Amino acid sequence: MLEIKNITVNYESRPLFTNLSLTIQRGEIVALTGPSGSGKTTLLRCIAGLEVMAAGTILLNNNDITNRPAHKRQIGLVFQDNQLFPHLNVSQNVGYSLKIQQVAKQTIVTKVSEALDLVGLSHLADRSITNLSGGEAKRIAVARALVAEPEVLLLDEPLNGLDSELHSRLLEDLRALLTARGTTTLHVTHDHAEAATIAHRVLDLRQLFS
Amino acid sequence: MKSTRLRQILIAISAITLITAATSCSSSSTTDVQDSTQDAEDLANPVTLTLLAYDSFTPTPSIFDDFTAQTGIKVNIALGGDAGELVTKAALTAGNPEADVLWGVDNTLISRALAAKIFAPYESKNLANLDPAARKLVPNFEVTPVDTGDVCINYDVNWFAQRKIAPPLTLRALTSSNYANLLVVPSPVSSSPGLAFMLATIAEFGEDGWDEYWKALKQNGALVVGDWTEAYYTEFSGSSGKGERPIVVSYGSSPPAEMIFASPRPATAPTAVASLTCFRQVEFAGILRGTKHESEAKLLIDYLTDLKFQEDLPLTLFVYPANVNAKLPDDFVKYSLRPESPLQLDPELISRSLLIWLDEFTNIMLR
Amino acid sequence: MPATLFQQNRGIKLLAVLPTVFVFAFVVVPVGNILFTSLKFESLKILKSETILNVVWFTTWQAIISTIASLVIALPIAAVIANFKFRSQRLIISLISVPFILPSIVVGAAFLQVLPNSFHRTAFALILAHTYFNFGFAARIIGARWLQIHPHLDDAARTLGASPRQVFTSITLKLLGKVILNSALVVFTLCFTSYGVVRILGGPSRSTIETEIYFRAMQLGDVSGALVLSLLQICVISIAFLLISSTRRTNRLQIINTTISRQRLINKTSQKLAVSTICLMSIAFALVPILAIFRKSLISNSRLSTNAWREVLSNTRVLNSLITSLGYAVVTILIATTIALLAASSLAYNKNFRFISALTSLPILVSAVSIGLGIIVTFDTQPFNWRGSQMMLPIAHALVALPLAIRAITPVLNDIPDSLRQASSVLGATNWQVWRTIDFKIVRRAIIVAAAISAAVSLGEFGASSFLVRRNSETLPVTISRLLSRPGDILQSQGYALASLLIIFSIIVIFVIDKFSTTESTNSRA
Repeated sequence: MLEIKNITVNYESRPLFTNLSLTIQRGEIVALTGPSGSGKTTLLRCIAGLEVMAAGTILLNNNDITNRPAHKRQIGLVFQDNQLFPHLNVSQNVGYSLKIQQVAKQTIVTKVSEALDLVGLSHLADRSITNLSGGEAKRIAVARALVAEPEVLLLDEPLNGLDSELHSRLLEDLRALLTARGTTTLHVTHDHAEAATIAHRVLDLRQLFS
Repeated sequence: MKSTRLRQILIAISAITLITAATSCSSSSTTDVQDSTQDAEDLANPVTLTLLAYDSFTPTPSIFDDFTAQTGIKVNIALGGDAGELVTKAALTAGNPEADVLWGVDNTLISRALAAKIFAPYESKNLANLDPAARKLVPNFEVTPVDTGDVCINYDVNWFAQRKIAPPLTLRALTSSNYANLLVVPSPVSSSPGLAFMLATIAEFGEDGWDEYWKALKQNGALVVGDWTEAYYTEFSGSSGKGERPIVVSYGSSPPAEMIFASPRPATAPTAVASLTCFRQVEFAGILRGTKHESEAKLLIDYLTDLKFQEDLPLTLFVYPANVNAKLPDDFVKYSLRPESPLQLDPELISRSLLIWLDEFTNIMLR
Repeated sequence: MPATLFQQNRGIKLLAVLPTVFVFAFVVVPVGNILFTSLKFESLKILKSETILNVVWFTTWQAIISTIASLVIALPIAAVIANFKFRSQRLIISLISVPFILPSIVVGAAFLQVLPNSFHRTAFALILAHTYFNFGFAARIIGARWLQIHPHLDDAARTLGASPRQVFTSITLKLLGKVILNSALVVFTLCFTSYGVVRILGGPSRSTIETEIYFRAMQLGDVSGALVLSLLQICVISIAFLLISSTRRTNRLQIINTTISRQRLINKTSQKLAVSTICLMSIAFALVPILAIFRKSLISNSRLSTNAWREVLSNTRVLNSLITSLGYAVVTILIATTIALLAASSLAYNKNFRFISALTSLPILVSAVSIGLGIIVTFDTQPFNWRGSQMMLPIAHALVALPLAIRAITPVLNDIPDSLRQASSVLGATNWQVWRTIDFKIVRRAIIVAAAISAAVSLGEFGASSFLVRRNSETLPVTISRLLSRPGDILQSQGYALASLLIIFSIIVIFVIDKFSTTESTNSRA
């Protein structure tokens, strides 16, 4: 369970949002909508531990992680532009978190191929990441985040800019994947239809201020 | 916007600098070796002679004005590195030279230069006035002596006076334990005065005995450094570096220089020369074979050995004029001692044996 | 990223013409000529001598250690450049760039002042001086490239569980690998072929291949032996080149990151401490030798005095040499930057022109002595009787600056996403317009860096470029050298005053150009 309590974030010394609160239950998929520039990405970055908050607390499964560094939070983030590591191929990208934890090589191989199966891209295992299509890259980014088995998965406008057929296909695949695994998810998007399709609960950012 | 304005200003400054540089570059000298269609007698198209010298060739800037006034010939000074470089380059271009007159070949290089047939011989009209010993080195007049100097042991007068020790006066004395760890010497491999000093020891102790001498020097704690500047300005106690060693290899003209260029001027000379340790250096100038302006070059050689130019030499190049009639500045007369019979070696012997000697020196002193 | 748009254009092939002709005319042909005329087979036996083998060994290991030391010092500074933003940052970046452009004679004199006597004539002093020259240059190149790594890449790694140290080793170092190796190669080559500092600081018993080449050619008149050593030098450096390029890493960063800056404000105290320490130490390292020179220019006979400065500033000969150096610098900038831009473009736009990279590196691979002597015997007859021309010196400087200038421009050009060009083309722009609005705009900053490098090489007569040709008027480094080698305290102080002037001038050049380029970048981000 993720609890965000009264957080205040400043951007270039001006407040971006103040006293924002939000709770996500375990296994819940919450969609967060709001206009561009309202701070959705910054909120995600705060939760992941990549931004500093001016005030407030974040609790994960009743543990206070407010001051915990990003790499210890077990919170995954799929970036809008994927941020796949250019020097690693697809398998290496997906298996990155396991390599960092110094998991045994054989285990990594197994888990990576499972993850690639899950997103339907086993045939790309040894490819370089440079010529992937938008949809493929996104799936790999999701696979990479999921392999780390995060407590919470944050998705930053994951389907932004995809053509409508790809969009609906990916949306459906994502929904299936996340519900199957029971991943606690915060899905940020400006598309209300998308939000409604994928999430158990849809919130507007502006509703969260107290 | 401020940054655009700044950019415009910077572009304007660059443009102005560029234009200034271009015009000043083109007006300050005309450098190309002249076209062969020039007739020496044709003063309507004035000739410019190129005088190629080593980098430290710095006579008074206006010194050639008189020459130009008398003959209508302009003199362009080109700098080509050190004396060794000059000879190597001249040897490679013998017969099709880079310049008209070469200044700066010295007695350690002359044999190599003559063997490469770099020069066109000329018997200068001032020859009779020039140092006879120097003239003896070039019996066939390929080059003309222009200045002489001595490389000698210099010592810090005050250092020895304070400790009431007699300063060293001979080469042999330097091996005495009285002078242990007091000597600093530039390496002959990389330094011209260093080379001259090594040659002095060969002249003094002979080709069979000089290596024993250096072994003794090494045992006595002599310090070998890379170049003269480091020896004189860092290690020597008698100059501005205030080093720890009061005995150094330097020039016979260094004591007067210490007087003239110190501010404020000291009451007595801070350094002195051990005249029995001096090795004579002679510098020559010569007409490069293949020059298109041989007659004009001859006039220049004559001018270089004339009194006006010769008397400019002591205070600009710190050498002694080859012309025996040239007047020396008072400070030179007062503070330097010219040895009557300095050590010398046959230039041809030097050229032949240089590599062997330098290898031997490296083995003894630098390993 | 291949510039597919331009590759189809046949005119692109012309880009390679001028750089090729330039290097051929002034390096390949002269060196070939002098080899042909002066090289004798019997000289090969000097390669067997123990002395030469020792020299090669020394040259190699001191260059390797100098390179490693330079990189080790450069990395923390690069980290500070790329990841933080604070007020005096630009000042610090400019200051650490100054050592690179100082002439050997100034640096040599400075280190002799600063180091205690027991360190004179040691390999340590030499390595320290080499590190001094190169650390700022390496830091800037690595830092600039580091800046291009999208900060979210680091963030992604962190969300996947990587600690800061792990981010550095698994992501940053891997992505910077190529640029680190390339800078290492350049630094290695410069240290391997260095001449001035070896003479001044290494002491009489230490010689490198370059000093041996000089010694053989000039002191002994053995040009053939010198050429053999020159060929040996080229072999060793080529091996280094091959070793480095064989580790072919094609980790091209996907996008030039112009939208989000990596640079963050310093908030944590631990960061503040680390950054301040790194900055202070690098500034101290850069400034201490410089301050030693300033100090010597103001002290005459153990007393404070401005006489040396007054003399120098009113002496017409000195001022002439200053103007001469400046003039040559301007011409060098024009030649080197133009040819570098052409060469970098041909490298970026056409795969077949890889050889340009090797070709334009020749001037720093081949001993300056060989090139200089080659020029003298080559350009000696009409209509190419150029060896005495004013232009030869800027050309010599441009030759030495070229490989460095190209390395400043090429990576930037290579990273331009082709999609930008294609987008522009689809909107109706001609190839020329595409180039002008996309490529040229992005590469402008790199061009300015290339210009700065060229100015530095010219003013400092870098890389023994002074050996290559004779001068018709005294340039600054020659004047400084002359003054520092004369007897008499007064002339010594003047020498230091002039050296100080050169330093001040170098600092100004670097500052102005840095200011220029930073203004550019904030514009492009706006």
